[in-house]
Amino acid sequence: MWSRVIGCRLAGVVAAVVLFGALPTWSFDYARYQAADLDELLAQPRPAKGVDIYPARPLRLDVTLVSYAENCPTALLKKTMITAGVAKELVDGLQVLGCIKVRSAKGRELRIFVQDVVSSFLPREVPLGSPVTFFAIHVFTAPEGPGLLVNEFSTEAGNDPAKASSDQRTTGTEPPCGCGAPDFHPGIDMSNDRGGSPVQAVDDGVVVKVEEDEQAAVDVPDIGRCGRYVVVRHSYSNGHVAFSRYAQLGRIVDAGGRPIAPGTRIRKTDKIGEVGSGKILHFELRPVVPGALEPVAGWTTRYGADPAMEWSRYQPVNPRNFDPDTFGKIGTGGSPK
Amino acid sequence: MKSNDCFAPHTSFRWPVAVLLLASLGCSPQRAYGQSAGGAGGNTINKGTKASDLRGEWLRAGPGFVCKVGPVAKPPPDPIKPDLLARACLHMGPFVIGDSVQALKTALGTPHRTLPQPNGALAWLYFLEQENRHPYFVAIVSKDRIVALQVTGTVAAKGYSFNHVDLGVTTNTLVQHFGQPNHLEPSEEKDTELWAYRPWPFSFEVREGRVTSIRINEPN
Repeated sequence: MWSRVIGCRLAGVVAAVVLFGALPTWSFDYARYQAADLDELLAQPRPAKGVDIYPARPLRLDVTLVSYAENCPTALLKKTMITAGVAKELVDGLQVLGCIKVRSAKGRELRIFVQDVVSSFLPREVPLGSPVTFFAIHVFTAPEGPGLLVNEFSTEAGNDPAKASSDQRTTGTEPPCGCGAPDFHPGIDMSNDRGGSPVQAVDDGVVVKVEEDEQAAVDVPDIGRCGRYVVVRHSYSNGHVAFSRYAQLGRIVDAGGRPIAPGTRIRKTDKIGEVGSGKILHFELRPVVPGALEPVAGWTTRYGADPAMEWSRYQPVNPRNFDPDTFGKIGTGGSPK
Repeated sequence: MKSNDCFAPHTSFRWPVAVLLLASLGCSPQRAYGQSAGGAGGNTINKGTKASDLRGEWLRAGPGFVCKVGPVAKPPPDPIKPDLLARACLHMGPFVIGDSVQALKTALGTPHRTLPQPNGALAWLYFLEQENRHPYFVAIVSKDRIVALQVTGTVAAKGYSFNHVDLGVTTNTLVQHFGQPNHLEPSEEKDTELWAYRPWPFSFEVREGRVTSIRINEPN
């Protein structure tokens, strides 16, 4: 579990790390998903052959989870998404290797596509047979039923993400580390009782971005004040990719005191920098998935030509819930390469 | 909505003003087209203006299409009925949906083959270059009227383009003219896919990224 990775690996490196209690908020736009009834969706007309394709319609569906893994034609999903007008670059970045099965209120079962990063959370957070709310887009309808892709989920037991986001906007408070915006904190913060403590990479990877300017006002659109930071790209043999970012750093040096530069290959637990004078480490994790399938406005204009900022186009996930072992082993299974 | 509602704003237009037909939202093609004129006499619109004289092109309008009819040199004295105007977008080669079989015989002679079709229709097949080779042209005939037109082949068949799309063009070109389809299905032909724009009455077959067949049906 990545939550344990954070707790163990970083705790061993950054002395007296204490996780802040506040959960990060998310940039996922839950509000655009309209409440829908799966039974009504299942009752809609279906083509006798082939697939009917629609402009991708975001839906919020309350269902029961029946299985964590089902085979399904993911190539068809991507093809129909492109046909439906989803940008090809987003579809190409989409990681969907399978489906899950859900049950409607009237007991009808359906296989639905799910982003890998989402499916990796399900076994730990949603027991089979439990109710769950899926935030999905309706891409097509086949003779077998509607083709839905799950982008996110929530459970009754968990926090209501939409509410959490709303509450955060209402308070308008800055994240503890200052990295983010009043309504958006893209990671988690860890405190330390002294600056200069070493910070280690959470997994093997390659450094893709080093921000040396402590005063860098905005490092991604609308998210600034992260100080000096390092981004590491983690590639897995199953093709999955995730970016980890370590912000509010002091010196950005390795264990030998040499500066860390883009292109440096990093082994997990290698030192990549030191906690800054603020005694806070901001850590975030961004799996390479399209998230809400809509890039942040202006991202392409601003960073489209800068490969070092590729990481910032993907939405952050809660590192406490992220399981890199599952993420890296889905499909062909793989250790970082 | 009554079928006429879709056309009401346009029925008083007179030539040579270009007329936009088929409001894309809320008007299904079958409503818009209504009844095609039947038999040989159906080729005639208002006081001598022939349906075959009218040419239009499909333009994407949001999720749907409009049929934009171009100007003609000699406008008829009376307003033209919209259901006949809509036929201006149903041309392929020298033919238009609704033509009589006599038009086929006059232009192309006896078909090289005829094939029975559902509901008592008959496919009249003409090889356009060499017998038993692509490209070929098919007119589906029912009750002495053409109810569907199709051209099939891997390279352009001269004179048989549809809405600026020829056989052999890439799917990018197809998308430029028609946008993305709203229905996909595998074709009976190997490695071939049907692209449809339902409920509009045209479809394309695509293989290896190129158009291999174009078909226009009579709107239901």
